[in-house]
Amino acid sequence: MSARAVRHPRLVFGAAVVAFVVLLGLLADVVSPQDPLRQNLGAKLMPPGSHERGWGWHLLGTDHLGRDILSRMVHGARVSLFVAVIAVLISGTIGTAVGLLSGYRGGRVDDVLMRVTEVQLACPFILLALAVAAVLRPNLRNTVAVLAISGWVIYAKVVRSRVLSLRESEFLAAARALGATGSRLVLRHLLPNMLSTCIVLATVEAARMIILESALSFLGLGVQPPNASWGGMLRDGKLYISSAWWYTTFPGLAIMLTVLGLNMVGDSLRDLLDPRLKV
Amino acid sequence: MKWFLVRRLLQTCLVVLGLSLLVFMILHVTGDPALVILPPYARTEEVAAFREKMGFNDPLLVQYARFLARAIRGDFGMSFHQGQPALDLVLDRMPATIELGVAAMVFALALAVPAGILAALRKDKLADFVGMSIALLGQSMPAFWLGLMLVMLISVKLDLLPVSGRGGLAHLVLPAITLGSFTAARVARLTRSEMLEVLGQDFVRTARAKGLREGAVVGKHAFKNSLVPVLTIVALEFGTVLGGAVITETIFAWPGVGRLMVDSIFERDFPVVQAGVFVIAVIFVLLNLVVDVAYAWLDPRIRYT
Amino acid sequence: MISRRAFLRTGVAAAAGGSIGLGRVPRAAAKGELEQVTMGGAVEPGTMDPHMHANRWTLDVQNQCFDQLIHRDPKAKMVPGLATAWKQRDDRTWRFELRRNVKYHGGEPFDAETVKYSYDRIMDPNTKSPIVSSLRLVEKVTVVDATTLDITTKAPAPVLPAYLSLYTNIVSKAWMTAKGPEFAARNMNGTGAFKFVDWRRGEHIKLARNDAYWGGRPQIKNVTFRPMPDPNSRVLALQKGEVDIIQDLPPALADEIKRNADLRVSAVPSIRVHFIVMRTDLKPLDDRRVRQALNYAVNKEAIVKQLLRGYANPLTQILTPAMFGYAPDVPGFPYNPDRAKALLREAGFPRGFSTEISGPTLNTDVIEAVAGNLREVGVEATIRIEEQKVNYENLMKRKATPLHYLSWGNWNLFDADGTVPFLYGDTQWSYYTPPPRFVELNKLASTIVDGKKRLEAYHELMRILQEEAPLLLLYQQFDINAANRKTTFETRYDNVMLLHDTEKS
Repeated sequence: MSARAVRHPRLVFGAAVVAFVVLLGLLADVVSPQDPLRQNLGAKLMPPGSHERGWGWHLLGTDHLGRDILSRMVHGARVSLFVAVIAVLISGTIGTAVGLLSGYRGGRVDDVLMRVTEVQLACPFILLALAVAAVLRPNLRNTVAVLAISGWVIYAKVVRSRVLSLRESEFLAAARALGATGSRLVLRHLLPNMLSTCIVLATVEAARMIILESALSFLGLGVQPPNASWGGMLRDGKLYISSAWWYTTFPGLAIMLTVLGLNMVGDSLRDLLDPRLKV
Repeated sequence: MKWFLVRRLLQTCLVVLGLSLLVFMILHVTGDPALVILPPYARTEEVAAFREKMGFNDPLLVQYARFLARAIRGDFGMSFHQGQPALDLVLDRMPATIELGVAAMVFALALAVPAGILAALRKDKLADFVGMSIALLGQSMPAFWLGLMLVMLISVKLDLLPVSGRGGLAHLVLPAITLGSFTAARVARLTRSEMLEVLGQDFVRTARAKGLREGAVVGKHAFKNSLVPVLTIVALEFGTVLGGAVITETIFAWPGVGRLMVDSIFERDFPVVQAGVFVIAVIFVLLNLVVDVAYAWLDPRIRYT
Repeated sequence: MISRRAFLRTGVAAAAGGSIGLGRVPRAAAKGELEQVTMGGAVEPGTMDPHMHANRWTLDVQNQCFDQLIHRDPKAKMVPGLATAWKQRDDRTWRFELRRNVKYHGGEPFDAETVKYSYDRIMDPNTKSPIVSSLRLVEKVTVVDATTLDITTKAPAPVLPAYLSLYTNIVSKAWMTAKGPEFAARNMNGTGAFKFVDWRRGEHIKLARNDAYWGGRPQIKNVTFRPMPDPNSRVLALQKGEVDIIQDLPPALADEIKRNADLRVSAVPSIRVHFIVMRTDLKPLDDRRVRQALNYAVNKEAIVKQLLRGYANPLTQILTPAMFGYAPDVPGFPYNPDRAKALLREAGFPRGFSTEISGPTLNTDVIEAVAGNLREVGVEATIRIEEQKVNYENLMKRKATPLHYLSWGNWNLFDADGTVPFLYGDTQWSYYTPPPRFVELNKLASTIVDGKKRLEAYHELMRILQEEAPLLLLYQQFDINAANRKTTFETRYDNVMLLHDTEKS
């Protein structure tokens, strides 16, 4: 596997980026140059590379409360990544399972499950999030739960569509002829075919969730101030989009870089796992 | 086929019914509409009297039954804040919503599908790199940022297009791009992935070996088969865009259903939310129906039990 | 004519009495007309029926077409509207002389009957009017003759005129009874400076000049109101020239406008004040020394200067200078962390304590700044940000966090009576039990007619509140609007975007 890995610069690069961000999040307290919570209203919205008298350098500038943006980004990595990855894993797993079941069994099971997706899709996300925020405490677990609920349908529908295509295909017939049935058929033969699609979906979803988390904190869920998250910084920086470009640009770049890493890992995994693709 | 449609129709009624009950319960969890309708300077007893008069004190199931009895006849009640029939308010916004939704999808597909196919055909070469880089941008740029950037650059600095509002074609361009960019990214990446899968399959290699032109290989066989998951996404995105384009609609002051829904949710305008959810549910059901039928046409292997 | 300079005063103004009211007096022929003025609004009106909403923003469109009995001039002084004179005849009766020869846009005449109809409609429980509270003082309305009206109040009410100056628009009885409420929710027929032309929901509302307006023909011929919910987008529209006036800017964007020489900001101290309700029923907030300490701990001056970029004034008391009852000699709590720590020590909390502060999303930055200040004196406040209505409801349903952010200013009575009664009693949002003297004074102030005695009562009330400190006072915001140089538009003290007096610049 490692020999093959060296032949995949994209995978290595992507994995390195993701690992870097993860490490940053895990070691935030150590790596962060300053206290991300420390405010100084007099030092608000300083451009990148400014020096605050009596305090230190702000490599990426300060926000509207005078807090160091770099430090907030380092700490925010933890939240954003955690939320995105866990929410994607949960929604992806649930969605894929539902899609497999729905597509393979067909009939009444398919009908019921697809009607459930329609109910879910028609129910506005904001409404659901608001209800959860009104009833439950704003913690990370509830945030992840809400994000996961909003995301499973796409996996279910896409996986189902692929299962419908493959249900009658030759290789499946061959496996059946050899005695495979039911869950074994699904897990050993259908699922690997879904993985590449699911991985591509997941990488796009991860980006969406990082940004969606900031909408949740608007509603009272998500990361509570004064803690930082990339999505939250994007949202807070909106008013300063013309006057303090660094406020939205740097978190935006961070998101983009992380998503790039995830994309690369996803694409490479896709290539590696696809049983029919000759590399 | 006919039986299939009838069955779907019956199930749709169940979906809409279940949804209305679910939304009803959730709405009541989100808060007391009386406190929103009445001003902050209303005294406690005035709020209580108002609640009583509006029927908010009745048991939830009674209120739901009342709502259902009227909804079945197409009457979703009067909006709390706008004094108009709730369903009319929603339907009023549909033309604008559909206009924006279609424009966004056209933009997204015109950009993404060719890009995805090209990226798959020229895997690991420049076209792949360029295409997926643009997809990366669409994926990770928040809609508000893209929208405001476009306005600042193209509308204000270059004075080429209007800032906001609904009007002719010129008013449609920037909102469509903003709304469609995430969809474009998703479709591009998925198209590429699906094309790669199909291109690796035996029948394609056979066709190539037979000497068939690249165009024929791609066009006839590969493309159609890879469309099934892509079509799923497109339908999903279209439905989502119809009901949830609130950020784009806010930035561009577009009079769509998304903004109406969010405003009504925040204002606890229950009748409008119910009416809106109903309309969106019907749209999703219809979309799914069309998609399911299209599957069978696109991929002859697909059959429904 | 009042010069533009006079309008451009944005500092704290003296009590309204000292200013020259422009009112709506008939004026000489206009010197330059404007064909079209377009306004980019923050919130779209929900309904055009003046009695069926309590939404401050809706007045920006509605009050162009409707009048109240009593109006406010740009500096919030009460001036004649549809009533030309009013007097308290006895303890519980106010007599209003109504304006003659006024017609509704539909042609029917304005008279005392339509006023009685309008007020009765608001008070009728079957109407389910959200502004029924505006007429809570009224017992009955009596038509004396076509131009004279008597209003009998339930108890002596010196502030009645103030109640009649904002939401209580007068509608045409004939029109309303003929057309019904559903039609009235989408159309307007009033006596105001502009007539309703067209409303495309979500897109625009169009108004046209009422040439026969009793207050003098406006200089603007056509007004278009375009809802633009996003503030960044509003600013861009103004910069591009697609609109002439925009509404409700956050301070950060106001500074952007200032950089452009073709545009101008018009900001005025608002009626809206921001403070934190303290749960005086919980320890340690039941101790007034702790409450005072928290007040001293917050650096309001820095919040105002830095966060709000000068578009605010620190509060010394719950009333603003424009309100009747404001006590200029009350010192408030200037930033003094040492004093705060001393008071905390005295109260038995040398190392501070933990608490929770909640508030709506919109005010997150101020809440974060406050929490930062509190932390410096040892008070650790966990922040809980909630959606606006959820947060408000928690407060109103007696589920407030120990420190609970609130902004107050929906009802521009410009009188202490619009605020003080809400600080205690059966009101939802105060947990405070005031000393008996306070209750006594408040009762007195809301019922005695003698203006001087009322003022004294309120001054004493403010001094009691200074000692008791039931609220953590923050700031009085500014209402910030912006415009290009096409018109003379300036923000009014009540922040209603009236254009009847606006001229070509």
